[in-house]
Amino acid sequence: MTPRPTDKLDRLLVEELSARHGEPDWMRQVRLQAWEKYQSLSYPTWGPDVSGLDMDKIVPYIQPESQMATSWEQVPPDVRQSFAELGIPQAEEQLLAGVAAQYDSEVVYHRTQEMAAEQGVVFTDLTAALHGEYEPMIRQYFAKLVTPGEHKWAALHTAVWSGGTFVYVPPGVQTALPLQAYYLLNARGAGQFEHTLIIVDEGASLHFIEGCSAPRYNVAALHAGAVEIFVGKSAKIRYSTVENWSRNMYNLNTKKAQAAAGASVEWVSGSFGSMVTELYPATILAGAGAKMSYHGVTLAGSGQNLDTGVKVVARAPQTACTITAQSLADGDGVSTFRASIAMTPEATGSRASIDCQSWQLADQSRSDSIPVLDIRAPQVDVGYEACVGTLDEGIIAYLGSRGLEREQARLALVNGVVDGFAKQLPLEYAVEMANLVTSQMKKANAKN
Amino acid sequence: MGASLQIQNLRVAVGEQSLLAGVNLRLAPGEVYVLLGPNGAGKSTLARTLAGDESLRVTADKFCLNDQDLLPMTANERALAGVFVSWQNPPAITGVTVANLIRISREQLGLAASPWETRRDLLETLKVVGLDGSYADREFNVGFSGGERKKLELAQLLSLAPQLAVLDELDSGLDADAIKILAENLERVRDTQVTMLVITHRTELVKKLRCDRAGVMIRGQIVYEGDQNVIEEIEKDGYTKYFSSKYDSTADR
Amino acid sequence: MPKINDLPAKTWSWTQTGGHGVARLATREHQVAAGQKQQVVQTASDFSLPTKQIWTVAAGAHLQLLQLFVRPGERLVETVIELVGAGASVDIESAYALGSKDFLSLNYVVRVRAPGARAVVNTTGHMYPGARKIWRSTLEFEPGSPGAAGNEHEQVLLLGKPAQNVSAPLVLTHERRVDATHGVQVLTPETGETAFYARARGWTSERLAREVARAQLERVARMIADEGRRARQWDDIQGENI
Repeated sequence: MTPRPTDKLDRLLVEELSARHGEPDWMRQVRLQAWEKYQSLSYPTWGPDVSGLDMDKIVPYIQPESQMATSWEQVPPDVRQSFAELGIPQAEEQLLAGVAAQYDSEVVYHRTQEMAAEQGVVFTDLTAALHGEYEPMIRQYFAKLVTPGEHKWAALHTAVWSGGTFVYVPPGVQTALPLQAYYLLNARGAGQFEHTLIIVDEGASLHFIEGCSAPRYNVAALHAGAVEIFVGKSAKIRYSTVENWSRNMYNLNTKKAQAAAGASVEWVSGSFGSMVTELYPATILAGAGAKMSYHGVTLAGSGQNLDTGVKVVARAPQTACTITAQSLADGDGVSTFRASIAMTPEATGSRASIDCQSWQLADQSRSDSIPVLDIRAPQVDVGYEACVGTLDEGIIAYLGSRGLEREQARLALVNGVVDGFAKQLPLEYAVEMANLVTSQMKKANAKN
Repeated sequence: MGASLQIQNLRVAVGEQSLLAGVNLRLAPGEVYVLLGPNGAGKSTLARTLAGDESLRVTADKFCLNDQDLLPMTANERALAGVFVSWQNPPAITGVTVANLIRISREQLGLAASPWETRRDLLETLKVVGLDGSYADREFNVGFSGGERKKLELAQLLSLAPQLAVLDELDSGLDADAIKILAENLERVRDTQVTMLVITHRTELVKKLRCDRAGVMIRGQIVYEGDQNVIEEIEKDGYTKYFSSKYDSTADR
Repeated sequence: MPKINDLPAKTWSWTQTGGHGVARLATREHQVAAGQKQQVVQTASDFSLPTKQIWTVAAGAHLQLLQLFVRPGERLVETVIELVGAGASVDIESAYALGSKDFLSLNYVVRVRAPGARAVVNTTGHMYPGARKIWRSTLEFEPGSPGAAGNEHEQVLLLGKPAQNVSAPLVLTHERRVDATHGVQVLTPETGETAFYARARGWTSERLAREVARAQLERVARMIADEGRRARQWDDIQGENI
């Protein structure tokens, strides 16, 4: 079927998407109901201004055959420059820009799949999985955590999702190496509305790494993906993200995990790119003794408004949650930290500990902290402590007297702040992260 | 007048672990009994058992304060019956001042007086145990050293007029001067005929204090009882001889 | 397999904390003149209507606002502090005791608009089963307030399941050279060693909880400068009804 030559984001497009992928009828119904929801919901009244988003530009790039760029020269200069700064070799640059030969992409994709299979893990493209033995499982879980009714972007996502990852870890399987979805996505084209569905069965464990530090470029400027994670009894997941979307992007991703009794969810989340980000990984502690931890770093440079945070709903007894967040703003950037910690009356004996540091690195920058705690359970122990400050001028002066230029000194201090976060990432990410911070702060100060 | 204490075949365990393996102890009213023993012997367990620690599994053929069976009594009920236990590690209680702790404890025990008298008595008591009057309005044990906490335990002993005083390592964390003050105060308490069970593993305090009897606890049992001379022997030779099967029925198992 | 439990019908919304559904607030405006020090004591009876009070604090002036809400019924109080002069400062110390018939909504907004200004918002309180409370505090550092500092903190002691217990300490900074801390502590009565100790001194668990709760109110009452007023407030918070 040839793509319909139209720019309209409408119900017909949703129907066509479903037909093109040959989806089961239930998925088509899910999409259409989500489309209705998208029509009826209004835009959220809080958060960064997204009025600059041109919804019409989205359509052409939903077509799965489209490439993000057909040649390296079409990728804007500052994006190409970013690759160079991050020290990524030419071949990978081309792969990441979507211009690699099909052969290369397929090789990488298959290699990742082989590694997963060796560990007994199902790791595959979500669309393909809809036609296989896991279709009933997907039907049971798809759009049950990130529901269309949640907000307008979630509704849009569920209607027009395209591309994505399905992971199933059978009971008791402890994955030896982290799974990285990035190459998988690129091999299949558009990463705008990708849907990640992960199910970790009882007693199993998984480390999943999403994205990478290289800038991901997309002309349509909207990323409204969704991640749904179901963690079974006593199972464990660590979900690591280092996000560096290009500076024209609206990154409105929705991530949610649900933990059964004794399960554990760890989020490690670094937000550095995009023009606007709204990202609040949410965890539902649904079973007794479930635990979550979150460690996030957000660095907003000039021209960026990064609104990130974390949500927890504890609705079972004896749950625990630990949150550490560092929110930095440089240049004229805005970094906002939001937290929502809710404990229902069933969360007896639960604990929560939240520690947030906000940093304002420049006179024009802005750092806001907006936590809300809603605690209705007895016998709980909840502590939220946060502070806002700036880099210590005394230390900068001291480092100056030891030969560091002001920018070098500031960079050293900022790296010190994010060091604890970097240590939780696999080594290659930690190295790239240092480069990422440098490049962010340079950009911030270039605009000043 | 002090209460009598009768303990026969007291066994205490926590989980699978046995802590007291059949303790026998009889205290006559007004008697001063010193209980010695090495660390880990079970002396503090005995104190906590008497206080009513619900995390312990307790059985006994007899466990009575005067005529009252202590076994079914909660910690609160035992306090009201006249049992006072000074703790080895008293906790800090934020939100409750020293003055309020003692005032309300006295109220609960039926020792209420006018607020002015209570305050005056408290300041006097603090002075007697070696603490400044400013401690009265500080939060209970918050930021207090070990020695200061022990002095407060003594202050409570002096304020709460118990019938049985079980003093668990009241001398730990105290220097020589403080031990002297403690011994003087305990003599005064003794003169009011309160029955006292003084638990310690050091000999400095109990050498100063006249006791009626002294016992040695080894591995969860009182293996030997004697008079004041026991203290001198332990000071000279330590506890080694009490570990032999002549004294310790659990030895050589 | 992990199960999809019956998920909540809606996820938590930021806007749940906003608005009381009250159309009108009685508004009162006050000034603290340059260099003046003022202590103001307020209780539930000062706010029988939903109220917004705006205090403007001039250079070098200091406002200490003491608020006590003991079993207040339904009270909605918005307190806005404008620190407009260099070195202006405010210290808000409040305490509450809420039962099932009470709903307390406190909204503190401190706009720090001058250099060297200082703001403290410190609330302690306890809630019996069925009580309802929303506590919001916003420290907003506007451009032109270098050297300013602020702290906002709430400590809530839960003596049972509250019907509503929301805390939202916000810090908004548009000025780089400021220092702010904010926090919330939600506690429940001591169990374990501390409770055992108190029981071994003849206390009941309820008495211990009530004394710790009373200390939260005494903390504020103790600060009242006027002796007569202090004695009256002190008497009000003794006894069983706190």
